[in-house]
Amino acid sequence: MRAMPRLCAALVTLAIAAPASAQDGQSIADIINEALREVRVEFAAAAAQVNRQAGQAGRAAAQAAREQERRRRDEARRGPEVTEAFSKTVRLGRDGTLTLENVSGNIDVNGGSGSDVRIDAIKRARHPDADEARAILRDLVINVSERGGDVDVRTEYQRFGARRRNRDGYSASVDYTVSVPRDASVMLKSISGPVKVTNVNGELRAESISGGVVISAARKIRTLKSISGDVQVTDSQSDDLTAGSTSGNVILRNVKTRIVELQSISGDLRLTDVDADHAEMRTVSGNVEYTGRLSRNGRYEFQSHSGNVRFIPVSSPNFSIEATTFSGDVRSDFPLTLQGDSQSFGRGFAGRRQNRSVRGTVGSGGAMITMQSFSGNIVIAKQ
Amino acid sequence: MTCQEYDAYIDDYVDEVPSKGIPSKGILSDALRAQCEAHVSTCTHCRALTTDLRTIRMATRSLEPQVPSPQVWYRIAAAIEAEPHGIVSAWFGGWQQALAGAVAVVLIVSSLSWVGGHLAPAGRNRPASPISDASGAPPMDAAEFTLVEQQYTTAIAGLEDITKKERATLDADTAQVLQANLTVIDSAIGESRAALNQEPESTVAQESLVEALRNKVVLLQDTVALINAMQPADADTNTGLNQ
Repeated sequence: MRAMPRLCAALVTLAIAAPASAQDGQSIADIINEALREVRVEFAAAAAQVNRQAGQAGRAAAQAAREQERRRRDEARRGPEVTEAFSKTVRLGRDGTLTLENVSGNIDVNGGSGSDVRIDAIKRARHPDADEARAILRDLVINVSERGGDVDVRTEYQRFGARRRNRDGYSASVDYTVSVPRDASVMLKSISGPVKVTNVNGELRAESISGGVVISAARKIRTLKSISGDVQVTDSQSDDLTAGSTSGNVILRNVKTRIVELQSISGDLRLTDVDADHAEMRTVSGNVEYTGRLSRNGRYEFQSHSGNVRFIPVSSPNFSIEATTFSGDVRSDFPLTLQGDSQSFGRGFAGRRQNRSVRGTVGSGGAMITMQSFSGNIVIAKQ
Repeated sequence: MTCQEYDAYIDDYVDEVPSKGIPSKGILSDALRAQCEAHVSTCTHCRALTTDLRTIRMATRSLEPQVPSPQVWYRIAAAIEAEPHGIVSAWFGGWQQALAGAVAVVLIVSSLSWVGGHLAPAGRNRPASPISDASGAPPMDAAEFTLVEQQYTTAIAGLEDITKKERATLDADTAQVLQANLTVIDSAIGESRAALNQEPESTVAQESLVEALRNKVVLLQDTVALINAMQPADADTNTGLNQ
């Protein structure tokens, strides 16, 4: 369709150019032929574009049809989904803890007013045989118990044992949406499925093996873990926060805590706009990045084996630093006063210091920064 | 007897039955010993843990006595002062903390002269590294380092033995992720070893190798903990998610 303006332009050109060209001795027939050639070219281009767009639309339609067919076959193989709603409200004690253990499915917890825990859940099951699917649903039990002011919620698959999941040709899961008193302590464990928590002021622990963990507006985060999912925290506080993922990224933004420890094997670790007295970040192949304020006597350790390590202090930075790498580069945007046997470098240094430890201070020192990467680069950057 | 209860007696039980099932000391009462034996005979994981602790214990006995250097106490004091509390990284707590502790204890006991600089469980329990160590102690010598590497290797072998036997308990995706990350760590171990061959005195290469070995121990501990958590309810009594 973009050819249409070009076609109109060619016709306009013809109308304007014809009288002038005739005066120059060019025959009207030549002008018309030239204009027609242009028109043919434009038509050909327009047709080709229409064909391309039709082809793309056709391919998209074919892909959608294939996807629909795949879903239909998958549906036929796994059977139609049968669901059952579950809802229960229980009273939580003044210093009570909500513990929720799920096997497969989402967990979504929101802090609110009042002193009750409201559990809304959707049980889901699939099986090629609809009767069997309904039987699976019956055996998929949500146990809610109250004990000493605490509330325990557990998903249990009675026919296969409490911890089995989606094996032996069946599929079953439970999606939870839970409202808790804002000050409640919360402990969540999931084997497969994401965990999300918002607006909880009490002590918080959340773990998912194959799902992500997403926390926002929490006030007392203790432990967050995943094996293959990302761990993300925003706009939160803690006293002593530990977060880790084996293969996922661990990302904290706008978090204030006394102590923070992040770990991963192959994921990146990123602290942004963080206020911490003591931070440890360790990964094997991921990158490490810390952007935040420094406590006067704080201690900060950043380490990766093969990833890059980047430290970006904010506000008026005063710190002592030790950067060590075996085969990477060390670069500082800050002028360092060097200590020990470090080679001298000043503002804007960018050089290779193989197998060497660079020690120095910025400003009046104070906070202690240790950065290490075996083969990655180390960067001390200005914001 | 539950796994949790067995945790309380496992040290004594391992001390009593170091090998071949023959009690050496009367630490436990007959009734408790019988309960422990009954539990170990029915619980795969506690049996594996017991075997592992026994293996570590025997390996420790075979080591030459180590005399700590005077620097060690400065390092320990500095480490304690700097790191008031610790965390053992493992999935659901419980016995694997005991295992982590046991491994750490064995390592610390058998190579005490290096403890201040390098050996520690995961997290903040780790003492300050030599780089930032106020004592300014030099990196360990080759013999010390070899000893430490051997001990980590032994611990890793024991944990790998458990994970290989029980890997089928994990779902395929999780097992694949864990294996991929073990490969990442193995790569780090290989690179660090190559660097050490190139520059045997390199502190950063030593530290990288020890850190990679430590990471492998921690990941294998996590894997064992996950296997434990994934066991069907009738295969164990009180471990994993329910703890």
